[in-house]
Amino acid sequence: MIVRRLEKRTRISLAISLALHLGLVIFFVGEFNHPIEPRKMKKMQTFAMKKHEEEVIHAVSLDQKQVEKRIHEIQKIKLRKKLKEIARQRYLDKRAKLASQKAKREQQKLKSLQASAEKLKKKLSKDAKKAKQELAKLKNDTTKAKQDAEALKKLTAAQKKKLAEMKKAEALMQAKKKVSDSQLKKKAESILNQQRIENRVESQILHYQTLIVEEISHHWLVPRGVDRKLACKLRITLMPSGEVISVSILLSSGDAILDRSAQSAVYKASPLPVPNDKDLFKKFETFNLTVRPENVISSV
Amino acid sequence: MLSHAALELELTQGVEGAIQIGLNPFPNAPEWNRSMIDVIRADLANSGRFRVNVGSRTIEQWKQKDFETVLIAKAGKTFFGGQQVTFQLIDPFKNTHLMSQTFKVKTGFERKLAHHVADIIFKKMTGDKGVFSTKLAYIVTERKNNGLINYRLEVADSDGFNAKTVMESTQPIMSPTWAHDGKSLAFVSFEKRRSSIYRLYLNSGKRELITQFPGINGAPAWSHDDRKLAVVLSKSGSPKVYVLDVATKKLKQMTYGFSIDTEPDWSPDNRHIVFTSDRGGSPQVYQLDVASRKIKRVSFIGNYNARPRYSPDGKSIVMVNRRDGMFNIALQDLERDEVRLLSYTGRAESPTLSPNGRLILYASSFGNRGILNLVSTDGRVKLRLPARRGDVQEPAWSPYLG
Repeated sequence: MIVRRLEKRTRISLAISLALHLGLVIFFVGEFNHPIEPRKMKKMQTFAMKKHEEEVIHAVSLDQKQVEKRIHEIQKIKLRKKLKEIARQRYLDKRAKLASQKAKREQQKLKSLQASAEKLKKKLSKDAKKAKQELAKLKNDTTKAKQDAEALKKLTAAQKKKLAEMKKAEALMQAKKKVSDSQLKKKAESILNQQRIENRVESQILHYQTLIVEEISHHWLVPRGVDRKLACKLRITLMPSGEVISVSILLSSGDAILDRSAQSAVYKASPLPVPNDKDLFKKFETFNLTVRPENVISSV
Repeated sequence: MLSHAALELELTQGVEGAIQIGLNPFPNAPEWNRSMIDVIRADLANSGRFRVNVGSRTIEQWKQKDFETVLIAKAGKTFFGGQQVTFQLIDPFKNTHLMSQTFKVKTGFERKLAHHVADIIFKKMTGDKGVFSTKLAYIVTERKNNGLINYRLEVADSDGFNAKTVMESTQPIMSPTWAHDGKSLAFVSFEKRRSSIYRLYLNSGKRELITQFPGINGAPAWSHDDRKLAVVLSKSGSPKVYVLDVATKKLKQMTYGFSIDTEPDWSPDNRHIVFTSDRGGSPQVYQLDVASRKIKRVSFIGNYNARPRYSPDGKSIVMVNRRDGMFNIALQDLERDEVRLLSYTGRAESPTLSPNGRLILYASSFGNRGILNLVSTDGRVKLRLPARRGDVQEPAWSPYLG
């Protein structure tokens, strides 16, 4: 196969060299028994060939033994060189292998680093996306809040406006009223004055009424077993000092005992509290008292 | 023109309480003060309706003390030299006489007169009829020195004084009951070593045998017209209620069955008889319609009610109620179906009502003695009657006595 690949010139040289080296090869086989790879063989042969051409030019006049010895020595040196070369090649190959292995490892490392870098990148991008979204949302909320505040502002403003309007209307009404009021005021004042006087009198009368009833009630001993639904009416006449002149039964309750207990109560309470003012006393000179044992407390 | 209508005032508040009455004793008759003024004072005070103050005061002084009513007692002589007393009831504020009455005094009858005056005052001041002139009948049991037991049927004044023995026996006497004319008592006597029902005429002291059937003869009760007597006889088996015509002695059986029926009492209109029966399992109060013979249960509180007695107006029933071993007097309002306990001593029996329905007398025990207690139907008054020798049981309150 190698023969086919080579150029024509090289082929011829190679055929000659081959024939020369056959003898060497047989010799070497007998000494070393060492197989050699075809590629290496090719390199060896090319190198050897070059060396051989040099040595053929210089070594024509020597004797056979010396020639043989020299050939042997040259062959030894060549062999040594070849071995060195082989070893070197081997070493180089090994280095290359190691290097390629290292390179492979490095590549793998790189690949994994790249992968993790990718991952990280992806994550970062994801986070960035998320952050972006949140920011967007926040922006949204802020805008919304701003809008609400604005709306509120508008509302308060509207309310304020309304309130102001109401106040205005009220003030207007008041003013109108005042005008009409002042016209009535004068009329009302005189009536009011009169009323005030009457109220004072009225409250005075009520005050003494209460005092009188309280005083009589303190002295009213109700006999047991009296029908609480009955009522009698008494007519009472007083002196200006409050002393009881007479207590007469206008309307009997139907129970003489109840009637009498009521009468006695008025007498026992004499003198009754009456106003000093002559005109006011006139109201109390003679009055009626209805007696009904509704809120009677039982003594034990 | 001023309209001068009179002011109209209204009074509704007061204090319900006992009526205040001042008693002016006789100025110079100390025995009468003891026998009359004291009696009037006790009668009025114990009724629970009065607060009595005895003192020699002028009308003006009573007025100052806010007394609405004063009794003035005056001793005097009749035209013929006999003794007489004048009682006046005065209103010191109106200075008017509410009452003025003069009585001849019969020696030995001072207490009776005092009770009568107390009745007058009571009616005038409260509107209710007084029961101070009524009597109480009851049984006294006394163990003599010789070891024998003496049984006495006694009749006393409403205040427990003036007790008189109307019958005495060495054998038990039970269930005394007044006829409504106040002139007789019916009761059960064991003098023949078996129970028999007798009638005693109080004026003459004469006794009459009413029933003597085989078995139990007990718990006599007069109808309100005194024509019939309800009795308990066991001649047909178990004790049953019978009605006896007093005049003809005709007997009619009213209740039937195997239960124990006893302690009958007539309603004021004579149309019903209440009695105790265990026909429902335990003693309860039942009511019998005399005409239709229909029986219905009356008591509903607890599992023991017995010894029923109608109030004079027929609207309530007094009975003995037992709860947790305690025997107490209960008053049941028939219209409102309300029951009120009136005693709390836990040892009450045989209640009897005063003729005005305001007081209940019942037997109880004090220490190891049998005594009589008084309680008002409104629960306020609680009294113990004066102690006497022996044990007192089974009181019976007389009707109003003429």
